Amino acid sequence: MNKALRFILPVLTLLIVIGSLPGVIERAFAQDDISFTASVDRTTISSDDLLTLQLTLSGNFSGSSQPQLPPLDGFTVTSTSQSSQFSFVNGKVSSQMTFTYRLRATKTGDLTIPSISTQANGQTCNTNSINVKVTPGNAPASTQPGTQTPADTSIPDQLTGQDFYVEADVDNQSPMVGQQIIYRFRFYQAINLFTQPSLDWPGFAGFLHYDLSPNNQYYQQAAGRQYLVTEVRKALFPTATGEVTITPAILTVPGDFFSRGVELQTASVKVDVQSLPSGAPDDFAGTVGQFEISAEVEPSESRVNEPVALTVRINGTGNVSLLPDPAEDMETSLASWRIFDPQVTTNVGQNGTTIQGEKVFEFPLVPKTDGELTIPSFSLSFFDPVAGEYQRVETSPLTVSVALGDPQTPGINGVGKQDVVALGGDIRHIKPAPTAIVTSHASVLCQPIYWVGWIMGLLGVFGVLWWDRRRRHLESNLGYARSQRARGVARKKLSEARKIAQNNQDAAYAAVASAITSYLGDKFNLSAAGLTRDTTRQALATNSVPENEIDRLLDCLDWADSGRFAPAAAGRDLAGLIDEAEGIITELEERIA
Amino acid sequence: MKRLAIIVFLILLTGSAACAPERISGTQMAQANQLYEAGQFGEAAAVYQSLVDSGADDGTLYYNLGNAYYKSGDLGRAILNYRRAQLILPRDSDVETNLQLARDQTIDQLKSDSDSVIDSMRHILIEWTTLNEAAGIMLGIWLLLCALVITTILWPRGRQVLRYAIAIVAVIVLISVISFGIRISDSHDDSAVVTSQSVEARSGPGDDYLTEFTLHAGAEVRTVEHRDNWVRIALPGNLQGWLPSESVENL
Repeated sequence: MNKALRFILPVLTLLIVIGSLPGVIERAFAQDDISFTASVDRTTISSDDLLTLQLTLSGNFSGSSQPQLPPLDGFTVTSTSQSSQFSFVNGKVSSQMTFTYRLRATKTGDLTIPSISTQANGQTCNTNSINVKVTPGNAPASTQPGTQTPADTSIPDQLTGQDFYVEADVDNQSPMVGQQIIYRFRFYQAINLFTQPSLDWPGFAGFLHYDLSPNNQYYQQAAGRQYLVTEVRKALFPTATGEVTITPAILTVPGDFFSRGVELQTASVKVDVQSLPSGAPDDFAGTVGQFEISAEVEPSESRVNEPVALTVRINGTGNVSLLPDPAEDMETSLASWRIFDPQVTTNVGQNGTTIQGEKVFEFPLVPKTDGELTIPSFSLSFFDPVAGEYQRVETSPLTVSVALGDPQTPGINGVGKQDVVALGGDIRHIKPAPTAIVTSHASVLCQPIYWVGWIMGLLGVFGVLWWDRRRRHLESNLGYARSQRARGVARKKLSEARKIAQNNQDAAYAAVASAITSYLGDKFNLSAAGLTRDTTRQALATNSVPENEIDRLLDCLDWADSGRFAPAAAGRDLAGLIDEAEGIITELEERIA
Repeated sequence: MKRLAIIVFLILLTGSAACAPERISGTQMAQANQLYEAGQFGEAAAVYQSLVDSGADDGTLYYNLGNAYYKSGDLGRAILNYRRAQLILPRDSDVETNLQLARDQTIDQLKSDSDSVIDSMRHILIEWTTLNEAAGIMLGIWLLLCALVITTILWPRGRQVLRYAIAIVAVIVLISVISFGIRISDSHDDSAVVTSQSVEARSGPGDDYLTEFTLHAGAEVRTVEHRDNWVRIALPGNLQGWLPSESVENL
């Protein structure tokens, strides 16, 4: 059965597969379900934007060609691309081809992308038409500088249809010292780049330079080609007069799969820097631009030695980072103040293509005396290149009312701390005399108590060692333990007897007898019941107890017994018996080791 | 037996009492302090010195005496007394500061003899503890060792752990006993300070011998041998010479 199944199953499978094959093939080449659609990524664009048009041909087709785009009214095609997919799912072959077009609108308004047709499997497929609304972009009349086309763009002479071109110039070839000029670098490209070119700026020797952002980008027709122009700018401030040459800027266009890398170089730019006209005021320090100055003091009331904050603010167009300290050479007019080095904050920004900013000087001022103290006016002289003349601005004087200081709290903050510096290098002062002077220092080594400490430690160790050994010996030797405890037990019984002697003579006699027999039993490790007179005498004799003592002991035992059974016959008092028993046990304890 | 132990203990206690520091009144020292405050440093030094000569052995007294000598320009005796004060008040910052200040002004550049680790450790010990404190610490460590041993006897299960502790503490006891022994042998005080402004060290005990080198006030030396009115001193770096006894003073 099993064998048969094992044979039949593969055969059956094979048969099924072969049987179904024609169906698969037939279905795979069935000519149906071909669709051709057109879609755009959005239906409203601005004239600056690019529109993506996608034509998708999908279904069961074997061959097709790129669709023929009809003339698109109001659009230009900037790029095309194509992709295809082929899948075989559940015996069904399907393929998909996608054609992507990037379109740029050339006019505004409601535009229509007409129906597009293509051939597939010998039949013609048409797409629907698409309406696109094009709004006027920001580009032509733009406030957005990103794509601004400068008004003065002229086509350079050397631009004669090459793929790339670079040039550099300045907006003013004969500026004055300190007057801002703009250095412009333009990159013309007629083909798309997939990698970012890198720009090596010139050294700008003889200038202070600042970046101007953002970069300009615009299109320009030249020599029959459309160029994308990228303009990068820098603000330059000449620092010395005379003719200065800006070295060439170098742009490296990296190579890619299709092209080799190119290194492009601009011409060098010559700038003739003029000196400033004569007639400068005395306090002119070379500042060029247009500036305003203001001052404020916070708080306007203070105490002697309590600092106030004076803030002098200079702002305007020009190179603010070179502005001089307004409080320079003003120590004399600030005589009633202690003035500390200012904390300077410089903010540089740009207004269009003009560098502007502000420089803030914060002076900690500490009044030396009280009264109405005046902070004099601060002034700034500068050359205004627009008006072509020297100008001077100044702050109005400020007044601070200073009260007498609290001498306990000099300088809360802002006053520079000084290290405590030892000047004299003198010794430290003498100590006060104690009430009693030590005449002899006892060394602990001569104190016996010290050595007792050492010995105590040792004694402790040996004591514990001895105790531990004894404990273990007792644990391992019952007879020894009985013998060690014998006297204690007997004494306990005797003292018990003494206690009850008055009330219960009978029991007291019994206790004495028990004390003696249990002592002997413990001592010789025998049972008390097994002790006869003979065994007792023998045991004591072997421990070299003299005869007379043995007799005393036995006599004592007899006495206790007779007292118990016939108190009257005993005729002797109980207390004497207990004393006698105690005495005998003490003596025996010394004899029996 | 028990009674005997008690008696021995009592004898030891009374013996300890006899060993306690002895004191005399501090009024004389207070007078000397007043002289010092009044700027009469020489007179103050004389009074302090008379107290020392009459047997006073007080750290504060030595410190004040050092100050008085320092102020009256006797650098050698200032250093001598600061060092005596340091032996009694080892952690006193005043003593340390003034001793350092005085040492900075001595003329002789003596090589430090604390080159080896053991030497520098010994110096640290001396500067941080008095002899009595060191003895007390040593006794404490010894008692700790005994307590550990007793614990191991009574608590056999802890033996594994305590074995290491005992070994470590035993080593510490050994080290401290050895270092203490070294210190005791050191403190047979051979340390001395030159008190003369300038003194010539000769090759033998007499003015006729050759001059080996010259020492100035405040130079710290070790005395090796006393003979008649001469003392043989040693400097770090195997340099030896004979000085007149009155020009150098032992701590």
